[in-house]
Amino acid sequence: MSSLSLDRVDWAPHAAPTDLILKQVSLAVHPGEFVGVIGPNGSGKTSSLCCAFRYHRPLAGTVSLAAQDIWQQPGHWHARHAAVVLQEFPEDFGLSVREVVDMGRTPHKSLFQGDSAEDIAIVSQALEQVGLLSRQHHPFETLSGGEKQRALLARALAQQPSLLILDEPTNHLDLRHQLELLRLVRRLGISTVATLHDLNLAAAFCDRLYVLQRGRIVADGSPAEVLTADLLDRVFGVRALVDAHPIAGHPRITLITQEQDHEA
Amino acid sequence: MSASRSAILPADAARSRRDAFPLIIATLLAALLVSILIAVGLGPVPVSLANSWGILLHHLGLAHADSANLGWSPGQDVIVWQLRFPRVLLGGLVGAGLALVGASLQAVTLNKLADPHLLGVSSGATFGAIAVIVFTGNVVGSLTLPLAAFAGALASMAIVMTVALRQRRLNADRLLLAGVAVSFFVMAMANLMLYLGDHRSASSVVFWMLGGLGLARWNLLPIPALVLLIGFVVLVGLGRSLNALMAGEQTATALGIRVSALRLTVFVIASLMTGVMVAISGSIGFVGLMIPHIARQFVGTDHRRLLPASGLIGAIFLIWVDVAARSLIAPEDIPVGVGTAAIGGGFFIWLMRYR
Ligand SMILES: Nc1ncnc2c1ncn2[C@@H]1O[C@H](COP(=O)(O)OP(=O)(O)O)[C@@H](O)[C@H]1O
Ligand SMILES: [Mg+2]
Repeated sequence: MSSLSLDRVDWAPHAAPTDLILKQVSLAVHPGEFVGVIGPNGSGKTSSLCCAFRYHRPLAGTVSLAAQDIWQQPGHWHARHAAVVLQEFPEDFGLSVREVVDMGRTPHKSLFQGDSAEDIAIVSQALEQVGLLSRQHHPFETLSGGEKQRALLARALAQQPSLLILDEPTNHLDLRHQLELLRLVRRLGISTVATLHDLNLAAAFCDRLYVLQRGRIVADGSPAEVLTADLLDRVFGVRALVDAHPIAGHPRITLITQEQDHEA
Repeated sequence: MSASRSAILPADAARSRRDAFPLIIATLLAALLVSILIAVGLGPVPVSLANSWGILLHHLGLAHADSANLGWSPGQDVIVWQLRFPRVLLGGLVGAGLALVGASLQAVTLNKLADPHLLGVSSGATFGAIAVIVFTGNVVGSLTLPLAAFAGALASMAIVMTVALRQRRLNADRLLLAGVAVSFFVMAMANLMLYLGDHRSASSVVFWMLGGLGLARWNLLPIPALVLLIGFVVLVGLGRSLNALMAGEQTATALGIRVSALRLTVFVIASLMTGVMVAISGSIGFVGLMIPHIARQFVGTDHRRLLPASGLIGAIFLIWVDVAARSLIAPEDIPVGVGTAAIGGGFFIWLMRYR
């Protein structure tokens, strides 16, 4: 039973399916896996993720969490299984870090139900996991970019999900924070699907990769199977050398930055 | 983790929010009660506080006084019991309602400048009121004007919703823009009607638009009280969802919130509440805009705390502004909306200058 599966999903922003943005997209995340989705800008990575948490409704195909079709379940069901970290920050209404993380308890609560001691403990633990417990009462707005990203991850953890959905989680982070965040996610061991721009990070952290190009999955498999010089040329339009990372052994991509004419 | 234990000041302020909330609410409730009790004793006709309370206790059946031997005149009795007390209570209801609506609309539009009068409802009510004042007169008795105003409010709300909804999604910006656009359009029609109509009616229209609690009578109170109660319960019940909305549209969806449905629900509740309040008391400005900001300073942004605090502060605020409105140049009633706008504007300037 996979944690998440998209099965031949078509999607377009308007109901007229003339120019589909996702075409027959199928992908699966198995329990405990870290799956990466890569592809050029505008290839449909974010749109695919949006199908997984009911933000986009597919025109065709099915989306399942824990083997249940999310559209056959009540409106908040999916939120008890999958949590997201997007490129979307809370509005500046003076929320404290803790208030932002508190939001993660929303799907587990009914109308009028207050925070139990358990909720408070879960939120504290999530803050602890991302190293922000000591800053929980600070205004969210005063955090640095890396801390904000970690606070959003803490919110996702407070949801106690069986699947994490991350959209470019390393965006805006410096090198150390990129590694720390991805290491943290790996350490948690929760099934994860993440879109990543940095292919070397994708190679280092992902168990499997899916490659999107113009709304279609054009390749999938282990980083070593997927990240070939040929694919990088075809999909990303860049020339690169691919060899093995000298320490970890996963593929290492070295971009060839000189213009082609000059080289010959 | 304990390295950065030396928290800075804003952190301390935030730390106390959850813990201090019961104390803050208790303080506000006490302040509201005291405000009501003092406000019934204040007005153009002097009635001592002791006598005012005597009249209240007498009518509430809490004091068994020999009716021949009361310390007050029948005229004072009428003023305090028939006019002033309901007026103070109405002030509290309207102030609480507007503040509650303001805080909720600021959440669903994700805009800190949203207020009950921004989204077309008040303009619709004004349109209805002007139609009555200029053309029809009180064709169905003294409730004609409030009824017409409420009908106008509902019509406006329906138009805003029709304009804002697209593909069954209700986007924050579209809601705001639709509200503002409809508001201006309806206001233009209302002004045209006023211009074409009998010019003598203009002053009563202006007076109505500036807002006032002078209509307050006992028989007028149950409806706003009921609407406020229902609105309060539903909105506070939705408090956690409103919090999640602060996360942004996509994240809120991922948190299991049906964003468009939530926006629609809150917009309809807010419109109904505003419609009722405006129908009875005109468009009293600034309460709905300003009070939530003040409340946030005390209790933070969690709507489960913000909404009750806003309601209480709004009630206290309007009760006192109305005391000023009926006392400053007695026996004239200054429209209470003038007072709220003047104080509100001044407050904002102070806030921006010195905080
Ligand atoms: N709501 C929308 N309306 C119109 N076009 C959209 C919408 N969402 C995405 N698109 C288009 O779909 C394509 C894929 O977008 P996206 O999934 O964000 O790509 P990626 O995340 O891979 O950069 C882009 O061309 C984008 O302009
Ligand atoms: Mg994207």
